[in-house]
Amino acid sequence: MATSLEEMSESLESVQVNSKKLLDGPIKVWLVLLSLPLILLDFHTQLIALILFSALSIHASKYFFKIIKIPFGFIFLGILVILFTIDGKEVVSFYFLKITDKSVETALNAMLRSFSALSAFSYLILTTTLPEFISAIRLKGFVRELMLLSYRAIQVLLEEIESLRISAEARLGFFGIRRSIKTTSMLSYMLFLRSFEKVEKFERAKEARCYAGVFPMQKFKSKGSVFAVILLSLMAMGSLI
Amino acid sequence: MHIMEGFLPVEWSAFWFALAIPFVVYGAWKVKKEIERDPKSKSLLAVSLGFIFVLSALKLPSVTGSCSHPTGTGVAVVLFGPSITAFLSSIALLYQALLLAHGGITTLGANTFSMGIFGPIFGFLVYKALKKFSLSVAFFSAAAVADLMTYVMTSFQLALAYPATPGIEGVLASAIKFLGIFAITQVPIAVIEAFVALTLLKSIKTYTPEVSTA
Repeated sequence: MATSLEEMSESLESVQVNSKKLLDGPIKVWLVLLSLPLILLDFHTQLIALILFSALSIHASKYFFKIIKIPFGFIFLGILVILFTIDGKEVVSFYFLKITDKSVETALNAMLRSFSALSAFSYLILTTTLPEFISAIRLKGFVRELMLLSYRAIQVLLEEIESLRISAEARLGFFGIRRSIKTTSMLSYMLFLRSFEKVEKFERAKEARCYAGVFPMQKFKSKGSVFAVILLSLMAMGSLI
Repeated sequence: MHIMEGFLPVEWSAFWFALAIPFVVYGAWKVKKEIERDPKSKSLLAVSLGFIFVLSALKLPSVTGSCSHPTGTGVAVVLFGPSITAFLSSIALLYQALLLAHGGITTLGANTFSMGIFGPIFGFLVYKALKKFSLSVAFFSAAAVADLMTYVMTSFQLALAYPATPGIEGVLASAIKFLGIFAITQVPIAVIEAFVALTLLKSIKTYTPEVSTA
């Protein structure tokens, strides 16, 4: 229970706001959303995207190295399974495990694709706050409203659970597995009760501000459109090679 | 268990999107009807979504020391039923991708299908079947089954994308390996989450009886 959740999401949010953005606004979101399918499709695009987006992400924030740690474990395990599973001509073998020419090829392909897509994706999450994302993809109607309202709810509830967690930890609530499970259940029920309180407060707060079904949102301006077009055409060129 | 960004080839990510979208759209339609019936339910749904997200982001005491967290979908499906759960979890998964770097955008379809649709549906069926006998057993098994089926589905999604040999046998051979390697983290999580869900749902039922379960 060393790292707290609130810290994690809050620091990511502060990273999103403070990161250096060569591109900004809706154009950045669309650049990544258009690049991702291109990256999945072609080998050359993957190489180009990996270099470009890693550079952009590292430039954006050092937090990049922290973010990619989480998916690494998953990719590592997945690649390991692929390496020992796929059949073909045998290259190396230990006891019952064998690596084949095909499995090496597939594993390398999957690894390059994952890292490449991951670099593009992490550029998006390093530089884009959730409301900016929602405004860029132009969601309308109740889905957009629900998302913005729940985004607010998440921040309130994270704060809530963090204070609950600290007080539980101060009372040695996470000492040993059995007690941790019990504490976690109690925390989640308290959170459930508090969420219900919040619903009432939300309603009152909305009514007090004459809420009429449109959640106010900041307008985001695009920056670096030329740069985005260059990046995208570089990647498109990759797929034509 | 989230499949990370870029791990699935393009044809499979498209396939899982195509499979997940009808469920999510049906869930959205139901949510819309609910909102039209009672505008106040908007806040309720938004806070529930927040609750699922925070619950799923809660770190569990993990046996293997890896980063493990509950899916929260077992609880959600007991409270809201499968179609609304499908819609809410697709948004929760998008949030997890954008706020916690778990999962991804191209794999959102696959993750929604395993975590928001396939697992919860089985959890719901088990809950319905066992409800008459014992509520505690039903709560416990709903969460455990939702978790385990999610993990089985994810392993199959990975196996379909990376079969050992072309054909069904190859897929099965791969699936067994993926199931084996992820069992180390997923099976303990499922059991622990089931205990948490059991206590949570029991408390809800006992102390807040006005909240109805599906």
